[in-house]
Amino acid sequence: MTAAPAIELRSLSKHYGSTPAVDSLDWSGGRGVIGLLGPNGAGKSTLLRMLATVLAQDNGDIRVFGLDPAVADERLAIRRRLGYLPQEAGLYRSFTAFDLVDYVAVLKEITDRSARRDEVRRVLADVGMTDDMHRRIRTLSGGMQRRVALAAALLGQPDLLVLDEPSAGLDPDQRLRLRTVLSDVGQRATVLLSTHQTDEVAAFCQRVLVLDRGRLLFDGTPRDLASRAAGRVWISSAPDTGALRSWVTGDGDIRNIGVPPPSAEVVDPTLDDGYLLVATEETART
Amino acid sequence: MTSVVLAATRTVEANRRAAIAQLARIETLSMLRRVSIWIGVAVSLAFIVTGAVAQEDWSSQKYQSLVPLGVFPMTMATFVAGVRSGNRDRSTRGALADEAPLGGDQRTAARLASLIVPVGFVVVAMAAIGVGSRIEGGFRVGDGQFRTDSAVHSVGELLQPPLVVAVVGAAAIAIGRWVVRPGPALVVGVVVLFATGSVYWMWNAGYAYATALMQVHPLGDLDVVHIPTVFLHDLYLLGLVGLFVGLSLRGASRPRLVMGGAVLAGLSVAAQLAVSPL
Repeated sequence: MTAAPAIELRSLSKHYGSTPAVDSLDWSGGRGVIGLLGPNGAGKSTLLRMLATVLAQDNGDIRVFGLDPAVADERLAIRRRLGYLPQEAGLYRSFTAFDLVDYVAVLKEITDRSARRDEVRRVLADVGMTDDMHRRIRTLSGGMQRRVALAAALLGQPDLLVLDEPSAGLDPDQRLRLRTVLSDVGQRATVLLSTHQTDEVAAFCQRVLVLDRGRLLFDGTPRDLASRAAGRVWISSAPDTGALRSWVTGDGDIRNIGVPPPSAEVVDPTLDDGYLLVATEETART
Repeated sequence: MTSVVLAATRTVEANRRAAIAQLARIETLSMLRRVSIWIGVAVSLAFIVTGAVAQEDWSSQKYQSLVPLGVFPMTMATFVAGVRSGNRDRSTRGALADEAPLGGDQRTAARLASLIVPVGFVVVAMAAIGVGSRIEGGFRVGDGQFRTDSAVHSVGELLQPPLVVAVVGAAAIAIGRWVVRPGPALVVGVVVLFATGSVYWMWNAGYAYATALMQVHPLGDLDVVHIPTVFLHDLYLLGLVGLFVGLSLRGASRPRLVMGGAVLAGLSVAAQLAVSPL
């Protein structure tokens, strides 16, 4: 008997007015770290909010651990196994970092006081906030506040971790720490994170989804996404009008994506190239 | 198998109740740390102490004004603290742990429980007035029929201030949960409380008397100690507590509490009007 996937979406839709945020999405996924890429307005946050049980869909079905978040008791059961970092976490500014995470731990029904405090210290250490845990939220930098919110999401070792741009505002050291923590969590749980940084996805995600205008454009490994652009990336010294996308690199060369001319100097594609190609072709197609 | 499932369910439910109790404890400690509450305590104490030792300008002044004016600062403070407490999840840019098992109603219930702080202070203050006045031989309320030199506040009268604070606190938390920006609500609330609290003597007739937040007996030719509306007015305040607690919640218990509170308040007003000698 195989275990049900952690997440199953069937014809999932959500509209804001007449604008589709998520459009007839079918997908399922299980353990591991899954990166969600897409331009602004692609529907990433809406999808994550629905998975985090804080937003109801208009149509279609969501199952998390085989449970339906539309049913109150099942939603509660999902919430007991869930950690969620929203794009903007509403941190109480007068609380210290420790007290705030402790408060969230109570909200997550961690009632043994001694175990709860140990858990709060553990998650704050995971995000590198041990030295600043007794500072008030209002005195922390934006990046530190983001780490406190992330610590709150990590409480209780959730089976599903839904993270909306977790690395936003973090410095390179903290990003590295984040990758390590999330990779560890991904060994035993499902981690679904949205990001605009393809290097992050390439670094530690086992699976990547590309979403645009609520539709799933790609689902596969980061390597598969990069290989989508194999033979379609080339370097030139002048802008190439035949390219779908071009930009000047740090070396002063021009990197192009599209259908290369016969004499082009084709180079190995990166994940960034694959993502840009998929997204640009979709834009051109529609 | 069924008994195992039932036991597990009971454990989960017990854990949930324990979490809500811990949340209430956190909110109570948070209420204790609020500056407005301590300002309310200090000013109320000052009003009560100075009111108790001051010379009376007119007969019955202490009897009539010590309780309402003594509790008035605490009422204001509770309103400010309640709005800010209820508004905590609305004033932030995003939601805190929206996905947590304990949601908005459990958090609000814990905040409502934290009203034990101001209500508790007022209970102690009223007990002190009740006991102190009895030891000192009561208040002078003048000469004539039903007038006496040893009037004391009845238990029903002394119950009124804690209930008023509970009503105001529950209303404040409901308002705080509803509004995005608490500033205007705080201003309007303080003005309304001033109109219903500090100028209590404006509410001494007819319907106003029955629906006043703070009901203070006019002392015409009435038996002030045995006036029959006192406990009915306490019931009215209890109804208002239920009404505002219901309005502060969003879940299934909301309609029951709102309806129950409104019915109790309405019946209590009708009963007061039926028996009031005014």
